[in-house]
Amino acid sequence: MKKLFPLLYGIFLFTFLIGEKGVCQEYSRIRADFAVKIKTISGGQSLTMGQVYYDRNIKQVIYDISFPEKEIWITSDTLVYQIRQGKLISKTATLSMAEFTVFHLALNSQLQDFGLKNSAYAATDVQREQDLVITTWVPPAKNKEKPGNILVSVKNKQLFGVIIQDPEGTILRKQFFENYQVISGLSFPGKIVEINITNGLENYQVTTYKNIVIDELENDSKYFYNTSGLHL
Amino acid sequence: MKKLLVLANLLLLLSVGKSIAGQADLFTYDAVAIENQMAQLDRLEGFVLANPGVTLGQITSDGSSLISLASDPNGINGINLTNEQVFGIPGFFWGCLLSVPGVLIVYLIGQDQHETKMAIIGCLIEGVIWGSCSLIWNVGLGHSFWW
Repeated sequence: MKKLFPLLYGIFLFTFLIGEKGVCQEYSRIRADFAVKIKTISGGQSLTMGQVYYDRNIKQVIYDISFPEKEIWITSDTLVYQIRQGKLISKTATLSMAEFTVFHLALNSQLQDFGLKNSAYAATDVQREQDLVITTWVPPAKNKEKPGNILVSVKNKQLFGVIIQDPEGTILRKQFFENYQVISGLSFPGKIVEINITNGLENYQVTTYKNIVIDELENDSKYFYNTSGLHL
Repeated sequence: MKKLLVLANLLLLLSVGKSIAGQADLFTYDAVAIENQMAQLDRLEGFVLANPGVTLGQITSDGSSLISLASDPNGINGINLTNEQVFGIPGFFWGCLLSVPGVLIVYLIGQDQHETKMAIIGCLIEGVIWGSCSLIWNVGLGHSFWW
């Protein structure tokens, strides 16, 4: 019995420390093979494949595209740079900022609430139904003109779905996060299904992530692209 | 009065229950339908995975049946999700039927790079067909240009 107690205490301490490490773990980088498939209402379809790199300290999402053509796309601040053979092809503004991508949210352990906890949105209602916990996020009063509510559902403590509504409550977009993989303790969706609804008609986008690598120590140059020297 | 309050409470509970149920129902989609929609693209993805480094240009030059799948790079995480067809008519037909004005319409109204490119291709094809016909009419059949 005397020997058993130190053993049990040791197991408890070990488990506690491992658990604490898991909670406090900070992640910086993510790399993955991706494929984006799009099917539009009009029948148009597209496939884009390649590798994506993201370092949360640099805040550039770098898509090294291999198909349909070899290109690099960089989302940096509010701009998207399209580079082919080292030359800038286009530079366009985007609302899709790095801080609100699935990469940044996952690395910062904010994916579960879709990053809304740190936004101007406020959680007004939390309901549990079946295996889902659904939170309703409302935009700040002064911004009520444009955006509507966002509904976020969580299943098994992982983000399951996001629904974006217009101010009248009409659904504009549904996103589903599936096939979660746990890599080095980080949970990341292997598949994201997006349904964009325009006038009741649906466009579909399915994004898959494979061969996910967390906190890669090599390939530093893949995580940063100097955009200051790029000119059209 | 007491009965009325109980009834009101019951109605309130029912309405809340209904709204909650409605919210959970929103988080559903027809996975099979989307899989069917993506079937062709899955085939193309399989081909690309089996042939690392292959580009759309190479597939096109090889004359593969996969070229029937229109593909452009405007598909990354919400940057640009759709090809903006003007009035739902593909850019190719605008260029082919209306020539340069058709290209201008697509460029100015659609403001979509891919659709404009398709309109230019349509315009060029229309030009080639028109040029060939007039050549046959003039040289082959010995008529003057228009009549």
